[in-house]
Amino acid sequence: MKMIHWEHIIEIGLKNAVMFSMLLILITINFSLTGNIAKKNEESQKVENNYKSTYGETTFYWMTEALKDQEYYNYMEGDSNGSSYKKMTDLLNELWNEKSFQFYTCNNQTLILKGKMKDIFLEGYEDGDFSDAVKTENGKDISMVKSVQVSSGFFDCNNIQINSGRAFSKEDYLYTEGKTIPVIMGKAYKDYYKIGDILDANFIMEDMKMEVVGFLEDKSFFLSYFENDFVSLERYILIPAWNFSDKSEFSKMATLTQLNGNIKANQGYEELSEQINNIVKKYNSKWQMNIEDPNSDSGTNVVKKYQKMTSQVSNQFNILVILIMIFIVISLVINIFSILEKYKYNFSVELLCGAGFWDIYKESMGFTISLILLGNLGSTLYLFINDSGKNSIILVDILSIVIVAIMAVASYIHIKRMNLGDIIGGEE
Amino acid sequence: MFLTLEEINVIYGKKEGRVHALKDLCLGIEEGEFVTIMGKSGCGKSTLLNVLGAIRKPTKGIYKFKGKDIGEMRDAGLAKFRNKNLGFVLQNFALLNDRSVYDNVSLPLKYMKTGAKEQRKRVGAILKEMDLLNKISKYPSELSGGQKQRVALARALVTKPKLLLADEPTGSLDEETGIQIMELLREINEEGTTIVMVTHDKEFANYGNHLITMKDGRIIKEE
Repeated sequence: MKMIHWEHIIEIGLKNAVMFSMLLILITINFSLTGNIAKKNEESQKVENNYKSTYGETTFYWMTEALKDQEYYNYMEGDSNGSSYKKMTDLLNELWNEKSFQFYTCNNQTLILKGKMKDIFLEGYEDGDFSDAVKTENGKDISMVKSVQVSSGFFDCNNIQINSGRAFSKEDYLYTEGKTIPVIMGKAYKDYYKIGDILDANFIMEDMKMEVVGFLEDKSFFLSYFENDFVSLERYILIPAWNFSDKSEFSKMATLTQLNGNIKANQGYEELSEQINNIVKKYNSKWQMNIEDPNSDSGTNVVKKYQKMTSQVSNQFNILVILIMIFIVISLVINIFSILEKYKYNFSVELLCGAGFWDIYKESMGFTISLILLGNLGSTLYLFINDSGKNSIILVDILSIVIVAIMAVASYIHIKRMNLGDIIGGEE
Repeated sequence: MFLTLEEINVIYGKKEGRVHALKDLCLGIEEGEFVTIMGKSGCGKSTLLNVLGAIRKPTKGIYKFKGKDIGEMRDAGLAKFRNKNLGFVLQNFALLNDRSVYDNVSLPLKYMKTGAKEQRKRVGAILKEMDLLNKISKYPSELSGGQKQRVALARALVTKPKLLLADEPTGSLDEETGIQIMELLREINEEGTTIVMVTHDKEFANYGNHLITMKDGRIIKEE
């Protein structure tokens, strides 16, 4: 078997330097694009899988305390022996620990911080109305920022991850007056704060010191009752929900508000409502909780909506990857064929000088393989630098192999069909 | 007999587009002959040359070269046969325009797997014979018609072929240059190389010692 005449192949490349360079750039860009989209596809798949594993087929309900005015007064003002407060605390704990459904506190609250905060953190920023979020008190600025008070179930049910620092520990969920409260900040805060920073805060009318113990991962979302939608946590501060060691006005108020949250359940609305109200009435027959059904006419099943969206996004990326690959294959095949056609005369002369079909075939394939290989190397380097992941690089390799295989067959057929003998007596 | 063609038929195309280019053609050529083939356009001269050059396999018939049936060879064998035994000189010179004179002339030697040193020696020798040594690094676009044809001749002869096939070698040249080329061919023939040449020119046809006239794919006259 004759060796490949690499000098001929190099010569084809050099003599068609412009075309070769353009093809090479085209291949490198297309391969890189494919790799990038594959990376996005992979991320999208992860989001979809993450979403499915987090929310699955269960339903999310909202729960809010619905004490009537009289019961509220009795709880806050008329509870001289503290029995109401104790019952409320016990109720909250029972709900947190209930196994047949998952209740977690998820209570949007305004947090007041001393000083002037960046606009993006202020209450009402997203609605374009945050002019009232910064005030002056005793000659000093105070800012109202977004916060969510959460119990431990919040993290598991929403698959919230910590990027740096630490999560809330068991001790963090116990409140002692004067103790510094650990908080976890959304990713946007990372540009301005660091672990260990202390904040002067006022939360539900109680002054306290807060310490930054962690930052959330990028793309952390929670299901917000007020927005009726998934909301990014990047500009939120997370505060732990508490059990209190002492009774006070603050502890009574905080305990009550901590009943606001989400329930993740397999039960239907009616069954769940009945179950919760039965629990509540064990503590006080006049207390009520408001359970909202996301499948009701007035509500929107946000969870189902997002599930469908992530699935659609995933599918769209899949289609995009396939379309791009088809485009690359077609454009490359056409371009390489045009070069082969241009070289038909040279191939004919080589035939006269003793080249066989396989010599000419190897020459054309050598050119194709060189082009694909160089393009592959270029795009692999780009994807590697871009940290696109090994799956993207593998996809580009597969694409290269597919193109070479198609060209191998197509070139064989094309060269076989070339009438190389026309060089003799061509004019005749 | 140096080479023989027995009942050679070549048919191109299918159905309505069928062309019967060579019809039951029989021909015998002795070694050392200078064969000239004449005939009108479309009579099958070039097809005959394609068959002799083992570029086109006949649809029917046997082509024997020094007693060996060429039709039994596969592609690799045919390529080797052409490389070792044949040389081609064509009307349009068939030079590679993007390569130098040296690269053009050494092309057959590359397929022969000749070493670089041997290549340089043989190319140098043949270009000297053709009085083209001073053009060795030039490109075809820098040469005159006569020089190009001499480069083509050099390429054809660098492997010391047994058979030289020439298709209208003077067709693109002026009369004076054409005569120069014909004189060269005569010299080559006198040194022992068998030549088969297609020509329209009666004067140049007389350089040969075996004249064939073709019409409609057949040999109608042989002298």
